[in-house]
Amino acid sequence: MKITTLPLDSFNSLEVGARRYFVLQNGAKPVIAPSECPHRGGPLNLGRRAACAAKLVCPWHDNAYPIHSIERGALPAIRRGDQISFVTANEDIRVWTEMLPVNQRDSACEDA
Amino acid sequence: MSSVGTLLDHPSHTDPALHKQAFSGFASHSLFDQPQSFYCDSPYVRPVRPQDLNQLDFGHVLTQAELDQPSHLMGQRLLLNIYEQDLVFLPQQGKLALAEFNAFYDEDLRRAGAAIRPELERHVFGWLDEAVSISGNWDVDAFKAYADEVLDKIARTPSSLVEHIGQSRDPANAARFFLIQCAGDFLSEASAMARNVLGNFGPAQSELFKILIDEYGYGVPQKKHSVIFESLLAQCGLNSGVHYYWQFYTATSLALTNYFHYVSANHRHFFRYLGALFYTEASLALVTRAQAEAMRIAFGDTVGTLYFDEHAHIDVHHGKMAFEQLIRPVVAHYGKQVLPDIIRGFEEFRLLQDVADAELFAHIAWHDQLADWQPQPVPPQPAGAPSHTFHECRDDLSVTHVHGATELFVVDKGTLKLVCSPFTQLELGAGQHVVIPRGMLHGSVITAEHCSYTVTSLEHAA
Ligand code: FES
Ligand SMILES: [Fe+2]
Repeated sequence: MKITTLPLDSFNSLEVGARRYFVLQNGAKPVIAPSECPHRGGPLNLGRRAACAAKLVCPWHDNAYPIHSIERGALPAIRRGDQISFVTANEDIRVWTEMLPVNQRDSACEDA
Repeated sequence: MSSVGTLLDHPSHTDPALHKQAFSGFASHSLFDQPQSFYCDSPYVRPVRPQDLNQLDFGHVLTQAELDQPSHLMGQRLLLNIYEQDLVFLPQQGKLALAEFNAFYDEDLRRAGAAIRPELERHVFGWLDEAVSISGNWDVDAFKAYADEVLDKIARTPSSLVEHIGQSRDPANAARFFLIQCAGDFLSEASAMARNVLGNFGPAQSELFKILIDEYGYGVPQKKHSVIFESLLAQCGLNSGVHYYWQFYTATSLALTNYFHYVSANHRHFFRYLGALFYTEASLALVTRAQAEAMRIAFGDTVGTLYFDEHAHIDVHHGKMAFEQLIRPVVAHYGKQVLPDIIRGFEEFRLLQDVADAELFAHIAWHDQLADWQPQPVPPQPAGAPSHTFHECRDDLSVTHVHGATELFVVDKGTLKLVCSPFTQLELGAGQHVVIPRGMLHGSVITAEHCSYTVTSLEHAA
């Protein structure tokens, strides 16, 4: 297994081996969530929040996933101040930053 | 929520007058009020400076950056007094003052402490919720891999304790100040652990019990870890009475002891306790080697390092036991749901340890600076800066405390002794001054019939 520690603001997307993840803000807690939608593989990282930010809606077929169930497939991670450490298998890791509207603050409770 | 829950979790919902009364009732108790000396001869005398109470607000959560504020020090002092009413202390050197004994364990005092405890815990430990978060799909092996990486890094990194003591202009006194920071915890070592061995939680309970037996020396006083530490203190020329140096504990040293009581006094935090226990046992196995080295640098071969050598040995076992016999079976039995709290405890205690180390090193550096102190002309004071003048008489003693801002301290008349540690004390006369950085522990005692001094904030100029 491999431990990677990075400044939280240095990335919001990553690839571990062939799988992609993105940083999903769950309140104060960053979750390194899988980008692939469990339905047909849509881009969950480009989803939008619903139900007071408690759910994430896939842009392809509008399935809404509770954040806590998305977290069950997330990488094990610890945030300590503004650093985050996560555990992966011994695979290549690539990180980058892209535009992810999903974490933008909005009046998320209106669409409940 | 039940009314009890409301009372405990939302202290603001209680009658504010009653709540205030509980605060001053506890803090102003004669055992915690004005002492005769900077040193505490009785295990029940633990001054907290109740006169500061009405300037401090415990109703909010401190941030990590605010741990150098006066309410943190007072909050930690109060909490240790509250937690330690659950422990048995009898003086080992002097006589037992039965009135003090009765007063310390008094029912009304305990009740007042219980009423203010939740608010104090929130005030001083609430920042950990912000500082650490655990997410994702953890299993016990991922945690083991993470913990190994953390511990490996500690093993590979040169000890900053050795470095700071070695580079101090007075390594022996720097080492003594370090030992004083340990004393609050080590002289009643593993008392918080004992809170967790009762009840019924299966084989893990027996494993925890075995660790406790090691700590308590298998029923042989000379093998008790606290007794080994007492003899180390004596060899280093320090008093080994419980809390003799109470006034010289930094807030973050107190936080280390209090954290274990915090997660052990309320068993809702039991899984956090397990994580913190694992961190402390596994990391101590590594850092006690460096601590033994620091002792040799400071005192040469005149001081035995049995205390640290014992831990370098037994804590290798305890670290392994805490993980393999406690954490792994507990997770196997109760499921991954308990892992986030275990990991949180591990990470929180690690953070607290780092913060306490930093505060210790900052104090050693300040004591070194003060050793170079020379009378200098008083620097110009910022216009409009808040300043206060105090008039005091011979032997008036100001219990050690910290300020929330860097302050200029000028003696106007008479003489006093500024006491920053048992080994760092300045005699200041009229016209002399010193700058006291924010968060640095100090007290004073007047050495003339009359003395006045002025304290001016150097940070909050209007
Ligand atoms: S691919 Fe996501 S909802 Fe269908
Ligand atoms: Fe002061």
